[in-house]
Amino acid sequence: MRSIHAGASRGIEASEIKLCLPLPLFSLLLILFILIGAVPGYASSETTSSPAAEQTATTISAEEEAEYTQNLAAYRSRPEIRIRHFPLFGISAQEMRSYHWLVRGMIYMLYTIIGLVCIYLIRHYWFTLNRLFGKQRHPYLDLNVAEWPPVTILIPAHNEEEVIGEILTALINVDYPSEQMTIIPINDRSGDKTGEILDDFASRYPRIQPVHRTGGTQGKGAVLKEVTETLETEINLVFDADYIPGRGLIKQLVAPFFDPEIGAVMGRVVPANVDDNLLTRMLDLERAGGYQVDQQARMNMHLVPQYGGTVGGVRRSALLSVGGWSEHSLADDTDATYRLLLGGWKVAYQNRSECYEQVPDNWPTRIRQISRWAQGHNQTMLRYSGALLRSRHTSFFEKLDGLLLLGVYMMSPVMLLGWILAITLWFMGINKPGLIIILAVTSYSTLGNFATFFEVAAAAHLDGSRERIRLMPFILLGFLASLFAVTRISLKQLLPLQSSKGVVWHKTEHKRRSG
Amino acid sequence: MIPAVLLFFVITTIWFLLPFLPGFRELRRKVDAKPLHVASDSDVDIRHFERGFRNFMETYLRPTMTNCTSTGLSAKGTLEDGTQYLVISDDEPALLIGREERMKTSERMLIACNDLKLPAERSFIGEIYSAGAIEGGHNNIYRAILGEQIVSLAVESTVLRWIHSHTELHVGNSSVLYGRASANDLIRLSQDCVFERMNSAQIEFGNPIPDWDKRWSRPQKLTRIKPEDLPKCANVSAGRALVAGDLTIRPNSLVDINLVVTGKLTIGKGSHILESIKSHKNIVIEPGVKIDGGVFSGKKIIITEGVQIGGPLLAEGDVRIGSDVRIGSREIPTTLSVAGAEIAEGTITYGEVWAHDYGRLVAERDEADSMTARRGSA
Repeated sequence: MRSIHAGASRGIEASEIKLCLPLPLFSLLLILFILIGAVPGYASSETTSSPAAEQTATTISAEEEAEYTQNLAAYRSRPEIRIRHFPLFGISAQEMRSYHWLVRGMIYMLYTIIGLVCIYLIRHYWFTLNRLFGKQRHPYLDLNVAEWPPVTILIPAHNEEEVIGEILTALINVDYPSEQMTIIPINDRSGDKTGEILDDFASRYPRIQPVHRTGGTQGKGAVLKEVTETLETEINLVFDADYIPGRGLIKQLVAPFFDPEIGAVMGRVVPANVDDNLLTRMLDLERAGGYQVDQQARMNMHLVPQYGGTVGGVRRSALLSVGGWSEHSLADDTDATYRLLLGGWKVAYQNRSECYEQVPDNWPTRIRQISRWAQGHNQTMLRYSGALLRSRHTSFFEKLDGLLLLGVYMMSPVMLLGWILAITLWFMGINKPGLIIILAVTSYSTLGNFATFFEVAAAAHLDGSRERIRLMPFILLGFLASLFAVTRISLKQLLPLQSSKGVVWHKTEHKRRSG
Repeated sequence: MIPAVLLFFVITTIWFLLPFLPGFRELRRKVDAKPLHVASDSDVDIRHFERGFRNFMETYLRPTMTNCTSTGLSAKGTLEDGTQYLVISDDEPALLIGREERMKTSERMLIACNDLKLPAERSFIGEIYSAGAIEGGHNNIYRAILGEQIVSLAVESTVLRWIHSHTELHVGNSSVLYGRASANDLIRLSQDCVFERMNSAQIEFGNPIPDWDKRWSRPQKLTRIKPEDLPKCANVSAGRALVAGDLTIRPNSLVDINLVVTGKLTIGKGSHILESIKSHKNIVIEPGVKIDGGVFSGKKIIITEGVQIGGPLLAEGDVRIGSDVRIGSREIPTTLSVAGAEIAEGTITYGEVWAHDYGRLVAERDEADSMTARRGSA
């Protein structure tokens, strides 16, 4: 049987290092090469006009040119003022001045986008290389003998009759002092037999104390907020109804809370319905990359591991000190992560605390899920970016990683904008060779292909998976679907007329898992 | 012209689809389409191997053991998987015979129905089980040992994988315990022992002093430190004070709040911390300090003599523990997990000890104290 830790426990062999290293190096060198290739045009343009500049110059009248030369000479005659060229590869400052302000804006914007894409590119590679070759941090993994504190396990459930029984049975059998554990499944206005199942379990096991919710605000955040206010236990774990915790999971998730700096804990989510179809297989690869590489690398590097809202938990007093659960956010988990971070609390990621989940098995559900995530993430970005920059409790690298994490969904519309700008500028005659090629390579390397592929491949390697890596090219399809879905929802969100005051919660449907 | 264009498109399409071919193959065959295995039972349980070996014995060797006990005769044989075994009863056969004796290496699994005494300067490649006590000879190498009563390893013994005693485990001077060592009641290590992971109700490093409570009696009067008294206190919320920079708690202080410090943290001697402490950098705990909660450090922890810690002690760097330190208690066992550990004589921990890189019992009480004092002042 394959083991999730099989690869992680092995050392990386020299041959594997040789295979791993060329990919990011090749990608970075390619971009560098293109940039360097474009530089001579820039470097020589101050004194000698490039053909494009000459072409543009024909549209300028003699008087204007004389006036421009006179102004330029006046500027240069002032010793304290030095003309600086913007570092725009392939386009000189003289050329830039000759363009209409709108065109100049487009060029600046395009290069800003390329810069952003490059930052994300480096980030992806950095995380992956850290995960493959860096020192791994699992500071709370060994903590399995202690005086275990009281813990409440919350399970929000809306029409979950097919799966709710499984998680309750699993929780009854976990390795945690039974007198210290209370299980609160929250029946949130279910129209099916969820409530009856919960009552049946409660009658048999006193530590299961269901809450039946018949009104109030929609959404997981609202549900959690309402119930958390009535709790007395300091540590509250949250599971989705379709998850199946293993016997040791509760102790593993509680252990980090002995550390007085930890405000929230996140475990690893592992898809259970992998073999349903192509989408579930792609999501399996994506999840592996996201948790095995991304989250663990952030944990290793003391950055911002994200609390994901399930297979995790929060320190109640810490969360309440920063405002409690947010009922007005579509990503209550991300929202909580950032408020805790701003309050000086840390999120611990426990890569070995795995739990199965049901991933969407059809595209409409997947699109709705990622749209909700994007919308919630963007909300959080707008709310907390400024505060994060000003925060005294976070290091420079936490600020940087936090901002990049918040902006990750905005990169979809930004990248599409980059493509539109590049193509528009091309047809306007600003066809420096660097422009489109740089955008193409960086986009491809960042979100579409190399970096993501590298991350997913590294995750599969660490998990000891072999054959599933063959499906990696299909991730491109998932990327394209996400690109347009996220762009659509982000633009809708940014348009003032479209923004709604209330939160519309699209629940992800959970079916009985295959196998 | 048209065929050339068509050819171009066909070749381009094939070229584009080529990387997808292995994927289509995997989609069709579903060779690697099972969910990743998630261990439902945590394998961090120190008794994992002990339980496995016990189950193995119950399944394959219990009838032979019962037979040997009733007849008083020993038995040897080979299991289906090729494992050779020797079940030892009252007649005490030669444990190593022929080539084994010449090589001074036993390759058989040794199962003793009663107490077992092992000769010195031998290697035991097979597992060893005894329904009674086990007494090992000096300078022996063992693969794995399971004893139902007291297990005593003589000086310079080496255990390669795991050792478990149902009661007590005594380890002689300069022994090395690789892997897991556990005992239900007590583990007692002697001078210069090296260890990795241990678990027991009580783990004694050398000989503890008998009058610990008297020697390390706590000062009656302590000065309470309020959060607002803490310099560079950046945030106080949810029972936790966050201090940006280094912090030194004065001797004989009482702190009743969780402390998180981004710099170096020093707890003055005789102080009492009612909650937990954490530092992103080094922690120095001076003599006679009592901490009811846990101690967490992103780097090193230096604990001088007579310190008492109630909760877990975790350090991402090394820890150096002086003599007469108590970590956890009989009633509330806890975990000590560090990269490297040097522990002086007289210290007792209750629960579990992990030393990932190395763990060593420092031979001389005075040497350890002076070492920790030196590093503390540094």
